[in-house]
Amino acid sequence: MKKATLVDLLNVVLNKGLIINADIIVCVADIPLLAVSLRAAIAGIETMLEYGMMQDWDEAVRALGKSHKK
Amino acid sequence: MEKMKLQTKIKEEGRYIYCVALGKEEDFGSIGINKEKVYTICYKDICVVVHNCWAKPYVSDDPAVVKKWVEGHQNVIDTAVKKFSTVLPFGFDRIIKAKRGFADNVVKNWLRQEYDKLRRKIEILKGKEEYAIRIFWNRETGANKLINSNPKLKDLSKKIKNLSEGAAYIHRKNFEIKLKEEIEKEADNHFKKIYNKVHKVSEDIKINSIKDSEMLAHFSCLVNKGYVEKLGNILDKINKTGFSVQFTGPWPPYSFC
Repeated sequence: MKKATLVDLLNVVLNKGLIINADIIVCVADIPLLAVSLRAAIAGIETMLEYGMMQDWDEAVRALGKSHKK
Repeated sequence: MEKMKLQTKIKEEGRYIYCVALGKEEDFGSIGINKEKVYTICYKDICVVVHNCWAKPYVSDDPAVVKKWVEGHQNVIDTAVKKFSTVLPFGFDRIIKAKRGFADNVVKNWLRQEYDKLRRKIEILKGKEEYAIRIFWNRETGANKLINSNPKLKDLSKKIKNLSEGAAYIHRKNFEIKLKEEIEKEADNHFKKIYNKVHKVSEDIKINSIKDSEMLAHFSCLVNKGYVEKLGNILDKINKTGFSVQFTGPWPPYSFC
């Protein structure tokens, strides 16, 4: 997915959409934090792309993923 | 045996909800987040596209995992759009919770209560698409043009060049303040003109917040399908007159539900 599309996708799925009454929805209190950390990650990806460091970033993220699976 | 014990202890279940649409019973197969089976729960002529899950949100601090989930969410909605045309999309991670065995009823109940509102929204949004538009303006280039075209600024700029270092300092500070004011006025004018141009071909516009200093405008536009080409032409012209335009879409109407 193109970077611009991903940025806009995040904007709509994390901030917008049909509203539903809170009493039947699972509490998503963690979600704002999710959005923040993901935006930071995306910003990081953008910077890496600019400086041609995408490969390093991919490897770092994959390493992070592995450590969490433990 | 252990797993069965655990499952009987769990008292709640969830339905991950993707979108609402005009439609009937459908089985979309394993196209959901984490390959969950996606299907519809219906009431009268409307339905919710769902997959079964635990009554807790999908949370991870691994951006790659969340990216996959979010893309999975959008893929299901894309499929729903192909099937149903007009959909009212939910944001990521909306899960209806209920006592085990009652989730479908809770969903149907919600559809029943909201039926009129949802039907009306679907009618309003038929044949329309959302586009995300970002417009960038290089303020430095704008500043140079401004200095040359604005007599006061032009004079001030010349004056400073002929002063000694010390004397020039204060004047330069004043000049910078004045220049910044004029640039922001200019940016404001450009914004208004662009907004009006885009508004002419849009049913609705939402103005989004801007974090990037080079960004002049960030809109979510609801556009009738028949006007999309006109919007494209307008953005094309804007792109050729000193601004940089970036836009994505069509999106289902996340911002206009």
